[in-house]
Amino acid sequence: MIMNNIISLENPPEMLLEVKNLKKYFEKNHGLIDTLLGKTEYVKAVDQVRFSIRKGETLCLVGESGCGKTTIAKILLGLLQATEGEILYKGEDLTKCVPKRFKELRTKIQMIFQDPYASLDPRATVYDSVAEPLEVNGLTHNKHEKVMAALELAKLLPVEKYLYKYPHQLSGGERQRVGVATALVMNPDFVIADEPTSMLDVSVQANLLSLLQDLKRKNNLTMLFITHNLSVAYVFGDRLAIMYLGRIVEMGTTEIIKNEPLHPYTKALFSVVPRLHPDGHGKTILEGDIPDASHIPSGCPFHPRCPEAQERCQTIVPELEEIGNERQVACILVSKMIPV
Amino acid sequence: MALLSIEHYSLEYRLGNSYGRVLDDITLTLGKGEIFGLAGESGCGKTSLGSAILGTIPEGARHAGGKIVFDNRELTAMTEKELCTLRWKDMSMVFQGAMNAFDPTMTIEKQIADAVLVHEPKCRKKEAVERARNIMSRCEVNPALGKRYPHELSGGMRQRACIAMALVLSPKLVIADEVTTALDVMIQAQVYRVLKNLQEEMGLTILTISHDLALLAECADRLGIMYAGRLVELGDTRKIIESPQHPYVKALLASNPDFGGERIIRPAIEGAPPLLTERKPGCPFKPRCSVAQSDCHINTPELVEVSTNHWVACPCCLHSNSGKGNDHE
Amino acid sequence: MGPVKIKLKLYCENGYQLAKLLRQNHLGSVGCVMLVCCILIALFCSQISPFDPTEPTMEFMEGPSSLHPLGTDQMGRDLLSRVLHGTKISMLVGVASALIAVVIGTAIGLLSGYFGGRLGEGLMRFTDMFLVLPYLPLMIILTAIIGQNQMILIVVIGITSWPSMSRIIRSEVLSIRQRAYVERARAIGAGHTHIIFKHIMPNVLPLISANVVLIIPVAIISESTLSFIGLGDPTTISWGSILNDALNNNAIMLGQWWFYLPAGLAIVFLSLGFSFIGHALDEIANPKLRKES
Repeated sequence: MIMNNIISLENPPEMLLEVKNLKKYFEKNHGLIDTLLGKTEYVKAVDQVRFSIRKGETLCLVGESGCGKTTIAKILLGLLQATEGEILYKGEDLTKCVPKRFKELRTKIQMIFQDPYASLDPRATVYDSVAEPLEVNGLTHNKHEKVMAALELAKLLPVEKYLYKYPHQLSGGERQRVGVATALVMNPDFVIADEPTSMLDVSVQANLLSLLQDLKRKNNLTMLFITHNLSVAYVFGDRLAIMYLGRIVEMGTTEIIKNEPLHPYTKALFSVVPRLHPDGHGKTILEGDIPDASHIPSGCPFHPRCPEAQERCQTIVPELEEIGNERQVACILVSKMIPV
Repeated sequence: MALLSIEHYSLEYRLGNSYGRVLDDITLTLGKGEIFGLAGESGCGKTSLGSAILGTIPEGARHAGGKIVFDNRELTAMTEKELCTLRWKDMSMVFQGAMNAFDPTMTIEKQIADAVLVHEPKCRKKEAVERARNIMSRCEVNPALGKRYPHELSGGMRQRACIAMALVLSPKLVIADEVTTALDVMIQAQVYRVLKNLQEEMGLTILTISHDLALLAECADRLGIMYAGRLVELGDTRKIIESPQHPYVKALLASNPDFGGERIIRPAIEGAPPLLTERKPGCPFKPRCSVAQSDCHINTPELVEVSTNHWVACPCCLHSNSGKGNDHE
Repeated sequence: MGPVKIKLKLYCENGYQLAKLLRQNHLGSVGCVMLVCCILIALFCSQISPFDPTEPTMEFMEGPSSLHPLGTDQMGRDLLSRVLHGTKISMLVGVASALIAVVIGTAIGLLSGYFGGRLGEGLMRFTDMFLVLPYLPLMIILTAIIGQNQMILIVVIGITSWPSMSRIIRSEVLSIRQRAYVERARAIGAGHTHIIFKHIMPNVLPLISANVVLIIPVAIISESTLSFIGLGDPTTISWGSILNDALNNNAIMLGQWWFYLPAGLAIVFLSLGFSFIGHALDEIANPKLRKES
């Protein structure tokens, strides 16, 4: 109890979410004999992840498929149990609180899903879908008004036109805005958006991002925006966190990281993102594919593909280290603590 | 000399009792050895154009005017049988879901070898497999993986295997339809590196279709942007990207988040392109256009050359730009 | 308009859309017509039958004539009237037992598919047991033990027809359970009851309706079979019992087609009607099956 109080005093009140040492290991099923012999392999989907988000800030979690970003979102929402680690929401540890308290806190954390075609129940009207969070949590007082307000915020106007439509009668962009309304109806403090624009056209995407940005400012929303699209992350996020094989390899303010990436993976990734106007830089195209998460290389997980790898990269596991200027990098070549 | 010449081509799909214009009066030419980027959002007809060139238009679709001439042969006048001899040998296609289009019960090299054997029945099986392995290694896929089954390869490798299958007979034209849309950016770079290398080696002409303007800006020599079944701007890539003329193209480029540009989100124009059932004469963009004139809904704009290798289908922007030097040579 | 009224309006609109789709589907329309015929016959059989089907006369085993278009049976009862009255029983037993099968099959399929794990596996093994049991001998034994009575018949057919239903429902529920909107419901804190009744059931309903309509012909034929072999309710008239009479009086050997053919054709007619509708509903529920229009 005392420890908890000390920790919450150390956290400035503006820190909304703090994730510490988050791990999610999945057991790989190997059959009866291996299990009896005690040989279980683990798929380390998320390993030693540490980040924090201040109130009103947007952190973009970026990475290629399989890097663990969606797993983190699911853990934050309670859809998956973390294997280890702490998730401090306004100072309270979500992993350790009682289920009732977790349910209460969860109402303030909402999610916008990726696929507008699959994330709405085809048999439910827009009204049903948006009202659902209220009904599930017993907050049905003024339900009708709250639903209308949410739809207005999501710019589905005129609201009456959309209230009783079915998903198949709406376009992709409209469906995604229903998803936004569903997330906003509970008046959340924290919104997790999991690739909300990857299935949308360019102009629809631009409008959705513009809407989210407006909402962010008006309602002082804090967001965790997950995407594999670096251009979107660049324009939308206040801060970026780049993930590789379940770990964060670089994190910091968007402008600073973009102008001067330090981690070799970040450098390579940024160099291959297509740009409208060529700027004469070369592309560092990494060979091969991302290794399977059940066979993560020893030492630094990136070393087999790293263009700057040294011998000691095979043995030393780099920690996410503060480099100064609010930047964190997990690479021994950039590290201030490990001598070159 | 133009390898592919599309002249005032139109395509219609059957919708219940009527027809909807999927492609309207498309005119463009592809020179030998060039990479042409066809851009546009969903529903603009770019994939249908690819299918029309290959002659694989779905049932219920019909040619509605114009012609497509490939290598001095008129494709639109050919029978299915004649087109079959042309397909894969002279022109082939790689598409988005192609990595899932492999037969899961056959090994990769066998499937590629089959493509050879179908078109060259006199070729011996061993030679066909050898050719398959050859093209696989040129596509940066380890030939030893040829004996594996499709599900054993990763997404990026499968896509490169698809490219190998499309190139095994050394066609003159390859149509790449959203080949990297579902892939990560690093794999996208690998795939395009392969395409570019092979294009130089084999003298291929590539028609690459994508909604990603930045991608096309980097790899295409020339660009064509479609809207509601019509080509609205066409020409040299750098000219279009740096000084777009058509209002739709201007807005599209402005609202496209650019990694190399400003950190700003500009909303796109409200509204959506007309549905297939709503296509009428006149400029399809008029309802959403800020510079539309009163007669824009009557006269369907044609492509007009505004400067060397830069064509625009919008009379309004011509008027507003006439008198100003609007292009950098 | 308040939300409740709007909901009703939407349901009506949905019903109308469904009727329209059914009408457009050729098989569906034919099936509907056949079914409507049978329903009308069942409702008005007393009015349209020329004779009382239970009244014996002296003209037994007679062939078709102007007085008895389908002849008479061994007790001199008019066969046309008997066939018309048989519609009632066959339909009643068919639909009622199909409903029992659906309720049991859906419940087991739903629980097994939704919860999975050991409960799901256990329920499936239980279903397998019933699948493996030969249903006809089981029905015969049960009827022979418990008795020959219409209610018993309905129950027996019901509890032997549910396994196929539960497998179909289970696989559909397994697929729905993975969908993004179910995950979303879980993320906002919905409990199992809410998810099952608000998300899973409505999405499984089209499949259930299509299948229930397809189980009805199976039930009708089961009833006919049981009656045919003499295990039906002897006090009621059903097509199976007519066939039973035909068999017992050597009508087949004597070539008296007017005795057995109409009843047999009636069974086929009604079953086909339901099958056509079931197939049409299946096509509507599963748009991939719909032919390009």
